[in-house]
Amino acid sequence: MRKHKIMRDQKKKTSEHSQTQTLASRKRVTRPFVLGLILCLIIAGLYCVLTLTNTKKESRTMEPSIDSMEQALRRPASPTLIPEKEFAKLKEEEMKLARRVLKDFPDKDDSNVLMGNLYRRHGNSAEAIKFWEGSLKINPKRADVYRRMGKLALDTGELEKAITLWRKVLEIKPDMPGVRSDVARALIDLGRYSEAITELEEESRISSVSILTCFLFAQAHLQQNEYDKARQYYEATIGLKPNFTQAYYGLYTLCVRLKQWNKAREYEAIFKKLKAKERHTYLGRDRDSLADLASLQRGVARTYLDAERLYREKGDMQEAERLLQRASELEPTNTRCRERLASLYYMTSRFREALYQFEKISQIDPNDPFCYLNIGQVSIRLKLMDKAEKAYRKAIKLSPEQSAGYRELARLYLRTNKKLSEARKLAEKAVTLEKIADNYHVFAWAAEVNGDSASALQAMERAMKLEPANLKYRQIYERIKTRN
Amino acid sequence: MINFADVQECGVFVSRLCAATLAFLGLLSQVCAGGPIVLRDVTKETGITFRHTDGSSGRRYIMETVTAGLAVFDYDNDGDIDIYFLNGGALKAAKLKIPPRNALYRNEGNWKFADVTEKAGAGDTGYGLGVAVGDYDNDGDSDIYLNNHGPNVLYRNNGDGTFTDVTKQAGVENGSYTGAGACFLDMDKDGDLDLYVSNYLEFSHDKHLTTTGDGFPVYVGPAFFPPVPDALYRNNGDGTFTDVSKGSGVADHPNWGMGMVCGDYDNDGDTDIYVLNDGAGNILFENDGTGKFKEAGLMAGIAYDIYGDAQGSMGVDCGDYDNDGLLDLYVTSYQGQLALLYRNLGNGMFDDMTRLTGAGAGTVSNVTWGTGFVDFDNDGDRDIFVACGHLQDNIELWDDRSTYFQHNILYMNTGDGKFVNVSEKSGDGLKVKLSSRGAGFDDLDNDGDIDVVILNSRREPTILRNDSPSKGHWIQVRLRGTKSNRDGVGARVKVVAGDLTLIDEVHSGRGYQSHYGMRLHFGLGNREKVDRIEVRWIGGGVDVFKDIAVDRLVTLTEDSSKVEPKSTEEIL
Repeated sequence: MRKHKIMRDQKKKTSEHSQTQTLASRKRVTRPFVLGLILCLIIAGLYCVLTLTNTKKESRTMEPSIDSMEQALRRPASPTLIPEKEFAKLKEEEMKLARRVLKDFPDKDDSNVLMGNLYRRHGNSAEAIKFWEGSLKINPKRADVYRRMGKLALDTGELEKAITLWRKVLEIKPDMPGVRSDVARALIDLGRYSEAITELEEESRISSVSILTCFLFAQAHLQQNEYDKARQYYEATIGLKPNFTQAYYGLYTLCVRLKQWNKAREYEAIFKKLKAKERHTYLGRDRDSLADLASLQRGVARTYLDAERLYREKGDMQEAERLLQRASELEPTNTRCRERLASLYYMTSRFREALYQFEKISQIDPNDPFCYLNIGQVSIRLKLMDKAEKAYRKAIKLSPEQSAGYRELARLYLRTNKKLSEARKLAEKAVTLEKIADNYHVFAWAAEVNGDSASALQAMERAMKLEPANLKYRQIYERIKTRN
Repeated sequence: MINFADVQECGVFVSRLCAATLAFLGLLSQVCAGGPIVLRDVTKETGITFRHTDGSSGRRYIMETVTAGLAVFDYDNDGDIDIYFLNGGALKAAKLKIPPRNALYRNEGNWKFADVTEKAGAGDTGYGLGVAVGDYDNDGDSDIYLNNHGPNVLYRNNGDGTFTDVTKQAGVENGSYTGAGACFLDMDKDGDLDLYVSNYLEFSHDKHLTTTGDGFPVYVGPAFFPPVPDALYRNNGDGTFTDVSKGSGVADHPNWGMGMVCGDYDNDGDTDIYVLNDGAGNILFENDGTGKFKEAGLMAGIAYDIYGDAQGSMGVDCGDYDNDGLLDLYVTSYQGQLALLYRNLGNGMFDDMTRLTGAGAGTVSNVTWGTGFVDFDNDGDRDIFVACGHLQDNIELWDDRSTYFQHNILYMNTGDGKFVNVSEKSGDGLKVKLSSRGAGFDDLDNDGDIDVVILNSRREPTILRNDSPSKGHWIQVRLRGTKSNRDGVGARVKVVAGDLTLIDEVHSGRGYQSHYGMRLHFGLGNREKVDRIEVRWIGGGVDVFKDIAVDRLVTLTEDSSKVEPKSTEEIL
């Protein structure tokens, strides 16, 4: 969901930027720069050779590769320090940042939340609550803060308190997904099973049934000896997540109570197998000091990200960039951090740097189709059309049911005036998959360049209907109409 | 004439002055504490100077976190309960001037205890973790088995106040595991006590790991070590034991063993074994009556919590909290987990009743260890005591939801299937804040109520005198086996007093790696006589004793009621 949004935001920006950028760059390309361009091409050629000889090496910046960054993550950031000092130094850095944020944004609820979260992560619940409560004084509608406070109460066994806090969340955001499941879990722990079921029913009404909701339904029914319903929900849980160990335990318990021994044995075998697997994972889990340090680094990176948002909102892009860079150093595999860096670079027209970040994301999460869409968009800005084409094809391969890849590839072909008939097919596919205005717009463009003005007009009519306020669509529609 | 010669009255022999003082103190306790159960901290009065050490040197070896249990039992058969504290030992790099050793304190009466360790020869210097007491040679006195980190020890009681280390000839050294709980039980009904030894893990310095939590050094959990099987030793009846771990089915379940208890959970006349595991499913070994065991924890519903999650289980006791004639279970665990109350349904299964009964309230922030089902107020139902204390000595630095030193918890049974946490109003004994481990429960002053002994990690123990104001009547039962094992370990006792029917069993080894309660204690409320006591011995024999006076300790001997029972008044 989040990635969709990022992609869409960036897409809009790309569209707006791409037109002005193209015009501007055309004006700038003049003879005095030809020599420079040749020189650049030579450098680029060398760059390609280097890239081909060592694909793992990063070529254009001084930033280390993901692999080496990961290695760095496994090492103390300052090897000269003993581990305790390493931790202390990082914590001090984080606290310093949080204090600065509080100073710079004294009236912002977010700065208090940031400090509260920091304290919570470092096991200081009392201070965490103090700052969270501070944020609520500034903005009493912070449902997320109440939710955090509820979770903290749950962790300390204060179930009634947790429920009260989560009820406040629901007062603010009655449809917030998951909160009623949280309440239900606490109610089950209090032995109030029928109340838990009521909460879960309400949860199902407002959001699609999650694995947890299903499982809690089953648990509550089991405790009430409503075995048919319990079974139904355990099976639904397994339907959503086939290796959900606890659901097999529930089914086993249920069958034992009903003396359905054959079935019980079946579930027992699966449960034991899954438990053994969990145990194996647990045994092999690396929880040494370096892993702990990595965990701390991830936490500090999160604080940097939260701080960055405030400075960016304020318009201090320089500080935002600095904070994101530090976050990225601390947690090189944090894709959210890199997305934000990339978006910052994009907004400030630093496309090469944006491309670098998106490529990093594709290395960290090679199955993320949205990062390939972004690579495509940025590559177009850099006039790396082959790269853009390759990226869009990858996006389509990874997510063939999403329309964006087809649409953007079609748009690329239309812009570059090549493979026009394929562009039409791609645009048609996009429309088939998702009937949104932009898909119709691209399809109209493709139809028009392929000489099918009737389809183009029809598509533009659909686009206008979907986005009546979009004047650009009306102008295009009028142009096609006039030409014919 | 019925041979009730062993039935003895154990009245409270105190002077009138003492009685008046006690009565006054009782009244004062009631006024000050405000609750029906009052436990007073009398540690300083006892003369006990024992101080536990975990042998730590800052290297954070895992066994430091789990030491140790204790035993309360009558080692010299003088009619009062003595105390045996386990101690840690010097671990690598630890600098200790005098090697720590276990300590035996003889009860001198009047809440005075004398250190008789040296004289008794029971001061093992091994690294102590768990203990069980039982008369393995059926010679009429209590022997001690120590489950250590490293070689274990069997002390044979010589009957003259001294002990002899007979480990090697008995064959129960048990390798060099890091131990946990231990229990004596007569698994095959042959009249002598066999031995179950729970193993925590196999430690070696090259396997030792140090790690950090939020940058602070912390102890690792057991999952960093491979799980190991427990051991079961069959008593050969000649002072030696045979390792039958494999043939009995016990060795098929390697795990990280912790506290344990043996009891007849399915009422089929033999002793089953319930072993806790730290971070893995708990194990119930169901006895087929011959000493062969089938794992039934999962089916019984006591392997995991209601969500199917394993707990960091620590200690366990069994007792009939709801007086339905079935042994229920109470299991303590790690921070973030509820200590769990399992109700025995009587069909081979248990229900987790923790949430419905309130028996786990307040345990989530704590690490819970020693525990006991004890009727502290003699009202005819069993209350629950829970010893608490974190195992991470620096927990406050990285998690302010918990503390290293913690208050222990007392739940009062309200008689309607619920428990109320009465720790706040149960006297200064519950105000003590240390890092407790093992706990033992018995009537240290023979006044008819149950007192408490707690071992605290790295500190002095805590001795709590029961000064509860509203004492009901009571009866204590000591068993003497003649065909079955001498202390009647595993025998089921049913006490009927008017509308009240209570059951209990004699256990050897229970709670958190501790031993207590060889004399069964039954609170009777306002019932002024016991109508009937039925004893079902291991082996199947049943004795029935009728019309027994209350407020006394009776010793019931196997086969002594074969003739039509008469009023015990004739015998007492």
